[in-house]
Amino acid sequence: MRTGDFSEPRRMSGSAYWVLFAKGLKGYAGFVVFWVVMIAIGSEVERTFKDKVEIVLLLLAGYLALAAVIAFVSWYYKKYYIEGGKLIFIHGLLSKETTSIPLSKVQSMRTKQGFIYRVLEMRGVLFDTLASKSAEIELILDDRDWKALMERVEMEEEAVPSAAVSASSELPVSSELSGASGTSRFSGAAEGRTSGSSLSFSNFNLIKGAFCQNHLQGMAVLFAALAAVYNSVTTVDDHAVDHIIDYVDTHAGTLSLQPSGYVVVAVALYFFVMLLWIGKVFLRYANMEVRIARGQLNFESGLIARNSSRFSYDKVCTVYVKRNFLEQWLHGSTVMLRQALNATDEKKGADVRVYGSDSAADFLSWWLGSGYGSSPDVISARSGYGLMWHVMRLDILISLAAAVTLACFGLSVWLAVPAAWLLISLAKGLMAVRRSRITLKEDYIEIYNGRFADIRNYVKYSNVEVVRLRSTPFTPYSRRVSLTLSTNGTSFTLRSLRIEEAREIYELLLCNCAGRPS
Amino acid sequence: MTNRQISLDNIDRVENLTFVPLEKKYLKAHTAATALAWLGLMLLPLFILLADELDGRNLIVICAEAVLLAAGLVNLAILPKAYAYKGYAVREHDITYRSGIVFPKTVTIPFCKVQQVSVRQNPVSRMFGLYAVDVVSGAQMLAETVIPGLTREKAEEIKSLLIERTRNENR
Repeated sequence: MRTGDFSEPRRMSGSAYWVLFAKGLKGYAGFVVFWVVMIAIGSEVERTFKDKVEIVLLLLAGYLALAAVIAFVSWYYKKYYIEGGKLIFIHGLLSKETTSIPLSKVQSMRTKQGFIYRVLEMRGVLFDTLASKSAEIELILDDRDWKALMERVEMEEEAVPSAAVSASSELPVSSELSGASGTSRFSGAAEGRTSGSSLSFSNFNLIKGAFCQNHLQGMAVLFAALAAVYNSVTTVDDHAVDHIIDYVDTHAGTLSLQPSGYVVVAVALYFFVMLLWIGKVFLRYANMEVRIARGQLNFESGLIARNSSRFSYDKVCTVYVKRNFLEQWLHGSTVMLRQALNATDEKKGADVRVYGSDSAADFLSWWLGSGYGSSPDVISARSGYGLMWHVMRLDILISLAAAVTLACFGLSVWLAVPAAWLLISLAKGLMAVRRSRITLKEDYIEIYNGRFADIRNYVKYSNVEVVRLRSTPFTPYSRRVSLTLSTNGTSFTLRSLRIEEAREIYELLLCNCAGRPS
Repeated sequence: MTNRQISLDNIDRVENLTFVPLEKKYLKAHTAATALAWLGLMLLPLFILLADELDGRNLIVICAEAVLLAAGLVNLAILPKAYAYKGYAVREHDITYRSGIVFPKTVTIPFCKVQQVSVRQNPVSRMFGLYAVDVVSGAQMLAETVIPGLTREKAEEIKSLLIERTRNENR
């Protein structure tokens, strides 16, 4: 048996060593830069320039040696192979550890190709299981090994007959997406039943989709960047921040602005955070490709660092589709395929998100079956005005507190601000009541829970884990209750439902979630 | 596409179930645990007495203790009603637990979704010889449902029943 079939323990290829070495260099770079700066400017002992250069060179040599040794240990004492449908991973220098993951238990298989990986033509392969929030194993493989490993994994999957395979025979066969630009296309749909289908998404649609989101999300990017800068500055010199604050304090008089100036600054800041957000989305999701084959979804995207995710259709617990008014106007949507909460490292954005393209129908056809649109309604229930109170309760408290404070300080003109806030909140509450509803279809559940945006969540009965009905002290008078249903990755609470409808839905959910006849 | 009719007529609906009440000792155990919790809370304002520079600290402490005592008494007063409402019911394919007094709630876990069942005790329930059954599912929210106030035999019986039913449902 040749070694390329992963049947015997093997190390990662030689190039993986250089990736580990580069990662080590990157990991210790901050520490080394700090000491180089300290030697250059911060030393209390008088040293000649030559002495300083020597110390810095020694430090750099130690840095390179340390990174090289750690990378070597990490590379040499790491072996992997596949046996009996399990991926076995042996690692550790002093205490040898063996991790064994049944391939059937792999929730998703992700790859990442950062700059270093791309230079060395390698990719990091991560295996996620539900056992932990982070990836269980990371292997650094070249393209040949990666393809061979994929073939082996697919071979193992084929050996295990699963529902996923039969479901994949219902792949969507639509030939073109209905996006505004029409640039996203299904290719190979005719061969979908055997070799699979692929979706590609234009970068124009991606930018359009990012533009349609709440741009204040860019604030998070800005704050993350500022936090990194602050951290670097304080690492180099604890007094650096004090110097900056003193400088700003000294020049505060000359920097003061007219009221119109503040508006201009606010508008400029808004555009800046919007650009940051769009840039972040573009970097992460550019040149997006989705391949659907044999019940597996392969998702790959990224401008510089390419990331991919591969998982079985039955690992998806909810398909989320959002259309705000901008997206409706531009014929786009945001689609998210959500997995179990501990299946992926969400901080790194491993959930599949598709911005801008109107591709919801294609994903739903893949997940729910091509006839999902014709599934008849069984029962439906809408939220009442109790939901409005729930949506508005914080805004009411904030507005009241602000109004009282402003009145105490005699700033009566500024009372317009909490009043406007309350009006916006009222609109939010009314829209939430208008949108919130649950519909039990013959084959799946549709949950609407948007406020200003039209948000639809699609859940299969088999994904429902627990159901809860909750009353309030007002239930005897209003005859309204809350219904919560939880899957392994999402949870939905529908408030202020009519008690009779909620009870009916409760029973139907329980009957259907186990797939038993009622 | 199938289009079978779904009827709920031949189902014992959750609202019509007869819930099994918890052991009577559970009320005593719950009362003891609640009283201990409130006593612990009432110790906290006493630290204000250590602040020598604070004027009127005695008054602040008396007010805080009075508020906590009143809240504790109200809590203890409603415990019998809360106890009377608590209960569990087992159907052919799922288990339901009912609890809550201000916000009464009913949680149902289908057997096929149960991932782990365990029996446990805490120091207070050990004093009263009571056990609780933890039913864990893979849900993102409500992943753990605890049925408290059971005798050892009853807890073991529920555990065995759940394990057996779960095995049968997943077959």
